[in-house]
Formats: sequence, C-alpha cells, structure tokens
Amino acid sequence: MIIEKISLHNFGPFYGDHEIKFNIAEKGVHIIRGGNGQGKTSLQRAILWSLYGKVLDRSGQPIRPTSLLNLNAFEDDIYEFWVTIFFKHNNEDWSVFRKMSSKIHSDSKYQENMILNVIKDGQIIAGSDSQHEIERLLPYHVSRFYFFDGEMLRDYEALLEQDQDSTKLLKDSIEYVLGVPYLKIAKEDLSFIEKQFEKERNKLIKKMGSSNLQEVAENLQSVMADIEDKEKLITVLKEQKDRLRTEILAKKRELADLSEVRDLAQSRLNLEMEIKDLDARKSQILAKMQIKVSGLYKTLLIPPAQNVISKLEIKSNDVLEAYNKRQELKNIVSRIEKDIAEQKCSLCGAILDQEKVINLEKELKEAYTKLELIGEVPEPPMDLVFYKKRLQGMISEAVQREDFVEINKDLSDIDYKIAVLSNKLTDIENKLSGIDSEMPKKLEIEIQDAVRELGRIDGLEEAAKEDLTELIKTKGEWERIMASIPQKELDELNKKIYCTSSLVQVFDDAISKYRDERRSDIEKTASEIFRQIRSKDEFDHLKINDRYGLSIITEKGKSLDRGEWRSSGEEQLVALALIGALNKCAQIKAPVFMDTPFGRFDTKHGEKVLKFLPKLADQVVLLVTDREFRKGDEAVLEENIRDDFTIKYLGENEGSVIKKTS
Amino acid sequence: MVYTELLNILKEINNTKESKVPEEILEEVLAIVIKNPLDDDRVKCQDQIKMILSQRWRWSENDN
Repeated sequence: MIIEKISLHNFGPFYGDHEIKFNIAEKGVHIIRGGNGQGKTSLQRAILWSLYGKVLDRSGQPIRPTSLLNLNAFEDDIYEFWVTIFFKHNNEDWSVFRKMSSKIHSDSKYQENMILNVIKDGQIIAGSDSQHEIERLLPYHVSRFYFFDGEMLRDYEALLEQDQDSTKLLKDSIEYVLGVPYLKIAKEDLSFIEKQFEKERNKLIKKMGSSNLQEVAENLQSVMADIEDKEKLITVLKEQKDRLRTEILAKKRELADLSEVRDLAQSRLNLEMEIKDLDARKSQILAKMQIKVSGLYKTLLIPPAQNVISKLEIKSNDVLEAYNKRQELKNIVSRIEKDIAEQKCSLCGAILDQEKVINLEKELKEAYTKLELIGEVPEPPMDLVFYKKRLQGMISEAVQREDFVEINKDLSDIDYKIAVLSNKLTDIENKLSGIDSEMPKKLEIEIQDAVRELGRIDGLEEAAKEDLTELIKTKGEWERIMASIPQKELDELNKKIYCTSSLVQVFDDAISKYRDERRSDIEKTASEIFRQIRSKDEFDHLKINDRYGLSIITEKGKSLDRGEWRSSGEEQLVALALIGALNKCAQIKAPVFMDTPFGRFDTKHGEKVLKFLPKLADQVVLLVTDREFRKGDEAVLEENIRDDFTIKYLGENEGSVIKKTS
Repeated sequence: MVYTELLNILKEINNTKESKVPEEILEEVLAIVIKNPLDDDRVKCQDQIKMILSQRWRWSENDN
C-alpha cells in the first residue's frame, strides 16, 4: 500500500476542505512539519479513522466522533466530517471514503449515519465487504506497526510484559504481519473439520447399534475427552508459565531499580560524613570567633594606649639623653685629669708642655661647669620600656576588622556548602523513604522461587504432553480397531478423519518451522538495524524470545533482558529495530507514518535514526516538529526526501492548513 | 508471494511424512485460507475445505 492523496473535510483542526498529495513516483521520505498542536497527529488519526472508523488517543482510549468534528464547523452548526484516502496496492488504484454526519451533535447519531465507500480499480465494494477488504489489506490490530507515535515506542516493549491479553494480542499481531496466521487459521479450520467428522462417525456408530461397535465408540469417545482435557491442561500450564515469566521480569526490573537504591544509600552516607566534617569545621571557626570577641575591648584601648606610649617614649628619650650627656662629660673629665696627671696625651701619646696643660685645665673647668649645670641624673628608668612593650603587645593582640570579615566569609562558605549538601541529602532521603532495606534480598528469593515454580510447571507440562502423546496413540489404536470393522459409511468417515488429521499434522509442523524461520530473520535484521542506529557498539546481537521481546547479547555472551539494561532511549531504539525488522520481513507492505519520530533520542541517535529511516519502508512519512527536524537534517536524508509539507494553525477562525514548506 | 512461501514450507514438511497429503490439497486449502483470513470468513472457509476433503478423501486409501 502506498498512499497517494488524503482529503479531509472538517476533521479535527482542519476546517473545510484540505488535501495533501504525496509524490509517489519513487520510494522515499515525506516530511510533514508542524509545531505542537498544529494538526500533525490529527492527520495521522484521520488516516486511521478513514480506514477503520475508530481512532485512539495516546492513553489508548477511543476518541468520540463528537471530538473529531472541527470546532468551527460545530459553531457553524455543520455536523459532518469526512476523510478520503487514495492509495495504490498491488498496482490497483484504491480509495477509501468515510463520512460521519448527523442533524444533531451526538456520538450515537454520527455512528448510525456513518458511510464507508471503498473503491478498487473503479469497482465499488459493496456493504460489509468494504470493511473486510480494508482488514484484508491491513488489519486494524497490526496497523500499530505502520502508524505510530515515536514517543510511545518504548511502550511497545512494555506491552510484552503486561497482562496475558495484551501480550497475546501483540504476539498475534506480529505473527500476522509475518504471515504465520494463515497456517494457524488453516490448522484450526482443519482441526474443527476433523472434530466434525469424528462427531459424525460417533453418531453413525450409535445409529448402527452394534454392542461391539458401541463399546469401541465409547472407548474412543472417552479417549477423545481425555485428550481434550489434557489439551486444556497444557493451555492452562502455558498461561501459568507466561504469568510467571512476566512476574520474574517485573521483579528483575524492580531489583535493577533497587541496585540504584544501594547507590543512593552509599551517597547518603557520604553526604552525612561531609556535612559532619563541615559542622566540625564550623564549630572550630565559631570558637575562634568567640576568642576574638572576648578580646574586642582591647580595640577600644588602642588610641589611649598609643597616646601613653608616645608620652612614655618622649619621657624616656629625655632622661636617656641627659644621662648620656652626663656620662659623656664624666668620661671627658676623667680623661683630662689623667692626661694632666701623667703629663701625656692619652689620645696621641705626645708629652704635654706647659701651655697644653694650661689648656687642658681650662677644658676641665668647663666640663665641671657643665656637669654642675646638668646636675644629678638618675639611671634611665627601665619600667618605662617595660610598660611601653606591654602596651605595644596589647595593641598587636587587639582584633582587626579584617579578621571578622574573613571569619564571616569562612562561615558563609561552610553554611552554603552545608545547605547544598543538606538539600541533596533530603532528596535522597525522600527517595529512600519507604524502601525496605531487606527488599533486594526478598526480591532475589522471590525470583528464585518463581524460577523454581516455573521449572515445576515445566515438568507438569512435559508430563501432560507425554500423557497426551500416549492418549493420541491410544486413540489411534481405537481408530484402527474401528477402521477394521467393515462398514462402508464408517470406513469412509474414518478415512476422511485420517486424511484431515494428516493435513492438521502438516500444517502444525509448518507453523513451527515457518515461525522459527521468521523469528530468525527478524533477529538478524533487528540486530543489523540496532547496530546501525545505536551509538554504543559493545553488543554482539539481539535475541528474540518466543514472545517477540528482545534481549541484548553482549560480546561475552551474556543475555540482558529489558529488566536489566535499558534506558528509555535505548528501549525506543530496540523497539524501532524490531519494528524496522518486522517491516522488512513483513508479508504486509504498507507505508510507515511516524509521529514525533525522535522523541527521546539525543542528537547523535536522532541522526543515526534519521539516516536509517528511508530503509524502513517504501513510503515513510515523518511528522516532525522544528525541534526534532532542524536545519541541515535534510542533508542527512540526502536524496530521499520526496515531499516537504508544513501544517500551520492559522487561528481560531481558519484552523489548520497544509502547505508545501517554503 | 506469501502463498508461494507458505506452500513451499508445507510441501517441504509434507515430504518428510510417511503418509503424504496430495500437494493439490495443500495448495487448495492454503489458497482458501489466504482468501478468507478474517474471523467472519471462518464458516465459509471451513465449508469449502470440508467440501474438498469430502470429495478427495480417497487418496488416503493408498496409505491404509
């Protein structure tokens, strides 16, 4: 299926008539741009609604018809909307036109008046066959692999771990895409026919009335009932196994989350230590500050102390000067007296004559006079020096303003660090609150128990299968006995049963073989795609399980399932790899419409995915925001872009329009 | 395309069996199912297959 044109009338944000025509001359990518709320998702919903008459919101709930009508049309009292899709399929031209209209704005009335016209190569397909024809082209439950929301991709993997019904639906959908159901349907139809033949035979035996035949028939009937019971038991055991597997996966995931809790607990310990160290440092600084504060009074005494020191210095200097002067004069007197007495100069050693002696006596007299003038001078007072030094010491010990500024800065730094760490600690404590520290151990025990239980049920299933094989053998023996009883009509029915049973066997074996082959194809293709779109490359391949979930096999051969390794971005990558593989291996060929395709990818992965997308299908339509698809991204897609449209919301009066991107 | 692929698998499996189903029966059953894959098609489809088996059961006489 390749979509050529979509026409809309009063659908969602599209008021009046609108059309989008794709260039489908060649395979490639069609870009449809638009900001949030402009109408991209509505366009995708319009296609699904046109095909199936129903459409779901992001939470999986059906959108009511009254919510599909354009608001302006509603205000104009026009209660009709329609969508037509024109597409090519197997070289045939198809169109699907769906319309809802009513005289009043009511869900039930819209539903009652719904019109569906399907035209194939100019031929109108009549009545209920029209919906069946669409289902044959692309069944509703597999459309999720062709029309999807990139942001919801990871939910696909989550679905595989959910309840039995959604898992089965998804598994069946995947097998449908791969073509397995044709064989399954054929086998079921043949089994049904086989049972019909068997019932006919039993009726015939009863009608014939022979006691011998009656006994054989009763034995056969009883064996058949046992077989049916055994088959039911095997189905129940399989369901129990599925439930257990789901439980184990959920517990493994919980355990993986708890390993994060262990890391958090360690972080809490580290933070508590850091805060304790900072508190100790803060106490030290506060003690230091207290000492400084207690010496603060000294600061007040600095000016008078400096004044006293100056006065003490002056007084001390005066006394010292007088004392030194007197000492000097006393030295001079002593020297002159000695020179006169010895008649010899003590400075140069010359003998003194009368004249020199007279001069010296004169000098001596002057010195005596000066000494008398100076008078008695006491020894220089050492207590003044002592007091001065004490006062100077007191000044040096006095607290300076800068000291307090520095202490305050240190305290603020510590308080800030403590506040930051305390916030982190509170966050961690909130995360850890309510978590049982014994939980990891409990979970491990529960997982072990569940694995053991799985093994026990496996054993029961094996035993039931063995019993079933025996019963089938017994049934075969009774049938041989039955066949040996010569009755023409009975003989004919026995042969029909044999014939049908042989066919059932061939189809049953074919299902296993075909399924295994397809799974292997998907595994290889998905691994290849995953390698292309993932930036990390330390993995060997992806492995698909019987429920179509994927595990990563590491280079060392370790198998990691969803519960153990994936971030949401990686889950999206795995899901995309699987969807890519499904599309490549699919028996159904349809366009891929991808809304917000790069939802959770970082730039690097976004570019890798973008490069891969043209290979996803013959027609890939990307519904992107300007944030997802930036300038230059066109270059990544190289020559693969076939169209570039923009959906723009013009306002309440006009709604949204679709235009070629300028 | 899917028809050929599935038929080849059926033939391959059939060839491994002691009692082989005639290939034309495999072809016809598969063709009917592919043409009628929906739940609503089941009754019609089963009737057609039963008709074929009712007419062509004699091949099994060679096996018995």
